[in-house]
Amino acid sequence: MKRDNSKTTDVVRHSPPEATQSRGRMGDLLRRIRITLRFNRLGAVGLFLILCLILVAIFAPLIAPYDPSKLNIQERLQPPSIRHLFGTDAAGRDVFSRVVYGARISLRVAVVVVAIAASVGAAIGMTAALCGGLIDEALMRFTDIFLAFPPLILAMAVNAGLGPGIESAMLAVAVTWWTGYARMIRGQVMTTKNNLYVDGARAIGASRGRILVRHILPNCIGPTTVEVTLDAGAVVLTVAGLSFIGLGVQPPTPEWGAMVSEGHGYILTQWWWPTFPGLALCWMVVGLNLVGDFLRDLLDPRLQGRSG
Amino acid sequence: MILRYVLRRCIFLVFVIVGVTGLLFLITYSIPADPARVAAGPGATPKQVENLRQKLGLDRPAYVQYLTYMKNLFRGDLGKSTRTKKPVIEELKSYLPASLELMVAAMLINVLIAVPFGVLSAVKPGHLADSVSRLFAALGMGLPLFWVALLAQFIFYGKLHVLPFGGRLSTSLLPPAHFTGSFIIDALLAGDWLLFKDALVHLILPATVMALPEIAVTSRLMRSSMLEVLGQDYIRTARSKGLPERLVVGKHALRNAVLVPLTMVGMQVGWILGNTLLVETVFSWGGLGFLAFNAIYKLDFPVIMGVALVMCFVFVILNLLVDILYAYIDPRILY
Repeated sequence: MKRDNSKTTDVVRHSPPEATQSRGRMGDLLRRIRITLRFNRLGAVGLFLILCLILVAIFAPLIAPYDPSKLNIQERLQPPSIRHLFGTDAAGRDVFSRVVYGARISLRVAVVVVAIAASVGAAIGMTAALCGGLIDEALMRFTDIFLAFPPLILAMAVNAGLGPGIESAMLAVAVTWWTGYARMIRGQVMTTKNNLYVDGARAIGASRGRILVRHILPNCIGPTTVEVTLDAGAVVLTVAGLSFIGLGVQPPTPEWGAMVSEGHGYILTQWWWPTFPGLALCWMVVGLNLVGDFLRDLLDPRLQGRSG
Repeated sequence: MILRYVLRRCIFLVFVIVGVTGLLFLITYSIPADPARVAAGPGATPKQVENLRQKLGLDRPAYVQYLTYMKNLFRGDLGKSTRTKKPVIEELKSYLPASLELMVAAMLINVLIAVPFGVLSAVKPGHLADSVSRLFAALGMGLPLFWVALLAQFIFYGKLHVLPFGGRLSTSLLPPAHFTGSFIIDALLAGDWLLFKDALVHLILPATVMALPEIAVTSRLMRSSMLEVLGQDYIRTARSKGLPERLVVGKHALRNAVLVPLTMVGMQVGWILGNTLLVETVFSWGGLGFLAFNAIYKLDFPVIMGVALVMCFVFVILNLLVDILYAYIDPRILY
């Protein structure tokens, strides 16, 4: 997650890309996954949780027994039963079907926000590291200003400015999230660009663009992947939080945070309404965190040495 | 030495504040909604809207507007709430103490639980405390806090009937005479034990929920930091000269180990500030988060920006305090 930067930045610096054959690489990767799973069993749990979620999102129309937005006043506020696994809400909608469809929204949120934040962060971090000097200083102080905001507060302000809605919520969270990537990638590029093999590439006359794409960027991919996975969970929680306070996803869209928000007045009498969407959120976030830890171990050569 | 450092940090603070207000101004300036139209009300003619636009200075260039905004800010004028028509600064003043009370309580609970847990699990790996804190760390950061708050209400109010549902006081009681704004301190100052007890009971649940994710982080940091310190030479020296383990751990190791989690406190304040938005909403805790929540529903923009600004200030200033405290605890740090 965002607070755990210290650990991820010192993960693996890959050796320069080698001209191994692709099948050899595949086999190597599978072997490493097997070894890592042996001492990080929770990683398997995380992979299982996330895989389930992706399948649920893809096959939502087949899994959900009802239309997630179909009103049915006769069956309002029914407790969980065989007919309605997670009960029904005040408009008689099936909570289970809504939770199932919610997986699509939360997965989309995670992917879109993290992709925007990581690309903006990467662009700024790389520019700062490669240009150095005044530009570096200016870009990093600019980053500091964003860091002076408590994360959810800046997202709230931006979201309120853009107006409620899922797109503005995603944009608002991305605006607060790029700083971590900018710092991390700047650090990564700074350490890589002084390596001997980069000097070597320059000596044989490689262009700046080629050095960046072929020799520097591949070294940033590993740590960024770990960071992205660990961040995705926090991103989903933040967007859900925005939806909960009425900014992000608007009802009747079946987003988990918005569903908890809608049902929150019913916690004492119809507990199932806000409880199950919240559980789904936990499922996803815990899954993402475990997968993130797993990836960190997978890419950490020190751990590979331990049991390899 | 430390004075010079504080001075330097204060100068940096000015830059941060200019940056933060600039950013907030930019958001206000670029909102799709037309503030003049909103302020004029739905029945206004185009001419009336235009007049109001001139009166509010909204027709002038952006930088002039920013300078006016800053000038007003320094005079403590943050505009008027479009919902209650009261000055935003008054609203903030009446809601801030409640949030601070909740935050301080959450931080206290965090330290009181996380530090002993971290130390215990470092001193006795595999002990029950170690397993519990491991589990806690895995879950603590993955839980949606607003949902945990709801579950806490369901369990402790709905099922066990041991703690109140929400609010800062029972409805039958009147708040104490306003002095600090914190009901607990004010009740204590007034010598009203009943009120003090009631306010304290209302504080337990929201503060504990808010502390949960922080406990997860702090106890893990405390554990790893303690393990590292316990491996140091001076700990071996302390042991070999025959000091009882209690003193070795409690005095020599703890003081050094506590530095690592302390560096995180500043960051944690940021998370806690964000979380007040969610937790206060669930518990109807009359603080800044609750104010913001109500403002969001009416799209009361001046109030939302005011809350963001105040929380930012609190965050920046508390971070400064943590840094100074850090220098005070660890004399090796020179600035």
